[in-house]
Amino acid sequence: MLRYAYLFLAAGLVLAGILTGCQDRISTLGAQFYADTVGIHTLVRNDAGFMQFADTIHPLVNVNGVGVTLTDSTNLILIGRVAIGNENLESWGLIQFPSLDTATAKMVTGIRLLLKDFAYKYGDTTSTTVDFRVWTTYNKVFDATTSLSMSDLSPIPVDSIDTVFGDTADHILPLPLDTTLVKPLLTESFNAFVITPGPNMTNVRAFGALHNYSYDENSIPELQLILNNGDTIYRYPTLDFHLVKDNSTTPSGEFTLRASTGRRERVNLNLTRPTDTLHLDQFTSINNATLVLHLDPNNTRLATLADDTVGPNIVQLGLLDSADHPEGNGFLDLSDPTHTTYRFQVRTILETWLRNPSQNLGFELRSEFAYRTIGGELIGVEDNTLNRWTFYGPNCSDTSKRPYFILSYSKLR
Amino acid sequence: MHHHGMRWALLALFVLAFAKTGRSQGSPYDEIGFGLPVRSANATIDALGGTGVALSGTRTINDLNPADWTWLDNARFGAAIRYNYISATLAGTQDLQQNVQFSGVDFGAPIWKPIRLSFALGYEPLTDASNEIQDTSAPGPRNYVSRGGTNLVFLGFAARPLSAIALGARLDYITGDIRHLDQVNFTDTAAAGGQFERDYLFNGLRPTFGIQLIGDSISPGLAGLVIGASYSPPTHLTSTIETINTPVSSTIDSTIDSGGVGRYPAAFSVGISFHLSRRYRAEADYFMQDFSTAYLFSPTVISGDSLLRASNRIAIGIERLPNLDGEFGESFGLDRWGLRLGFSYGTLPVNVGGSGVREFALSGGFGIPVSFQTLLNLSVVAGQRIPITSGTAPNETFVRLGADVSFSEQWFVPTRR
Repeated sequence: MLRYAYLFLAAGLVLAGILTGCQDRISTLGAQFYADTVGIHTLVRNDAGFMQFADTIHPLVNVNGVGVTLTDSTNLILIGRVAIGNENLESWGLIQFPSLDTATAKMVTGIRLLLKDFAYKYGDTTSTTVDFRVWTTYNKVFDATTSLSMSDLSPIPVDSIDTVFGDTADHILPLPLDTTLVKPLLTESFNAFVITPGPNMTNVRAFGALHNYSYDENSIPELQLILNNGDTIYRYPTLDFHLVKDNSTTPSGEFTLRASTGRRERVNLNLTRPTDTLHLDQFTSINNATLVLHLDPNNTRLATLADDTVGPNIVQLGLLDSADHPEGNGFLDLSDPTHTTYRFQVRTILETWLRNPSQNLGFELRSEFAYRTIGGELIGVEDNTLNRWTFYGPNCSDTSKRPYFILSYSKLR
Repeated sequence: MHHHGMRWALLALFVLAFAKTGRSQGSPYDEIGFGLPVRSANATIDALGGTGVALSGTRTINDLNPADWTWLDNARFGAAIRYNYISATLAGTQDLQQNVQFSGVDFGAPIWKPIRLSFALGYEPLTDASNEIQDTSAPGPRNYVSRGGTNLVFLGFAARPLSAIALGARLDYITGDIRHLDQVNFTDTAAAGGQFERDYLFNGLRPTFGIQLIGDSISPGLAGLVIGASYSPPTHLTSTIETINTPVSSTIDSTIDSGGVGRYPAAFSVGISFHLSRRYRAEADYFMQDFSTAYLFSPTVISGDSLLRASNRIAIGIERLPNLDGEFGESFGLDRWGLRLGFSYGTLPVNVGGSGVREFALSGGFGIPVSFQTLLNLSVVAGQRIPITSGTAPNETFVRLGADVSFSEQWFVPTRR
């Protein structure tokens, strides 16, 4: 008897296993009775009611209520000039060393500023000429917010150099300084050296900065002091950054993103207007929110720093600079044969805003984005290049080049 | 030792049955309202066409009529599983779905012999809302999965205040969690999918009353006759809709609960059974349940769900009772088995195709003695569901295999001191 029972059980289990293991066709017949179907919508939006673009310049970031220049924590000091077409840009390096005690200062017989090359060029990437002027500035540089003009610098440069200098990492560029002019300033707390491009400079070169120590301890600038007892001592900076003067012009109907200057484009989206046909809400899934921009290649220039040429960043804005959140780079649409179409996926931002409308402060397009620790705060800045991206804006006369959104969303009916 | 092995093997089988199967497939009609009703979780009753209001079941815990528990001679523990196969067609489209489901667990025992006072408690499905659907229309496929259904937890007592009358009452806690899980996909690779979930959670209390008139105790001329009836009044449900949107960024799930009410309909059954001989009996039942006033969820009280309607069912069943301990004389092998046959005809409680859907089914099964008073009951039900107005809703052919074990072992019997 038990044998039969076992047999039935085994047969039943095997049968059920086989049958439920079979590949079934999922029903389509029940759809008409299903109460909770999902509606999917895909559309293109480029109207101002949905999105607004605005140029913005953000040269200072706010750290615990204090303004700090965007390049304060840069790991590269950028020095040079680019004057090609309507691009007119100059970048100065600024380095400050701690004061020297009087006794040691009296022993100094020679002074050199040593810069460590970083393989980077912006502008004329073929030129290896380095034409620099080194100036001093006294009692003008207090912190990284300093803004300088030629009138703030010493009447004459303390060094001029015009030489061929190869572009190799940690390659030392020695800048011998005028001992007579510089030695009296070594004991001063508020002295700084400013390096400007000379007339033969056709590009911008990069040198390691104090904040590059963690990546390459050999790359930071040094002040080399030769003493009368035969010793040589080295001083390391307390402050170094670069100041960019951008006098370039952007064609009408276009907007430019420029690294190291904080020149950005702010985009605001009205997602939940009652009159909008989208009817987005907190229960909407944003399956695709691609911002499509068309590049003006004639007004765009990228440095040789490969990592920073992928595409501009999308950054979700917070109330504090430290609350900015990068969403990643845009990417080049290779299906466009002109290679001028960039796409930015912002679905995460939109989904966040739909669920937390108070966080909808817009997002920014930035040339690049890197997290720096400034004043103990983690803040994203675009400070280690000068890349210039110019895109056609929403008011471009050629409507086919205007920005637009491809929006796919779904929600329960 | 051998019997112990069998016992634990069967127990293991039914414990395994609690595990969720990978699929939640079922009838397209399961999508409507509470899902299609499960007439009985009991394989004995299923094999008899769903008859059992006047079962006089000595070796099973009757889930149709609590008055029937007065027939219990021993403490019993039962557990059941079932397998469903559904082939549906409509306008040239055919679907095939199947599932294995846990079908309930119960326990009952006689307490006081003079009035045959007994009690029982259990857990079993009342409706099944399982189904999977795919919508392949542009811009991308959507998979819809419905899981769960309505469940019943009961506790009750039965007794015979007079030898000819058995009365039973039980308290039913109706609880349900019908989950609609939706997955959206896109053929456009730039677009990411999304998930949605809408859960219908509900619960309510109702009594169920049962009565049996036992001919043996009324008149010798009525020997072998049992008439039974049971009634469950409509149940007010406390219902909640919970909507969960899991967007592409799954860390920002949105969940919202909306409170409301629902209504599970009254049910009435009446049946008559007659012993054709000592070992053979036949039963006919009529069952009605008006789902036209039922609804799963509404923010406020409403008159009903337009997709639901009244259902009714007639069924007949014939059984050769199992000869477990020689009560029908000495027999061996297959002759000891119980044999069951049944037929049912009814209308489904779904208001589709303008005029509803009919259901015809044939059934059969075995009651296999295992040990002491333990029975392994197997059932098979095969039938069709056909819309009254042809072509307006899916035609279905279904097969349901059921198995339950009604344990009653020596160790269930209290030791006298």
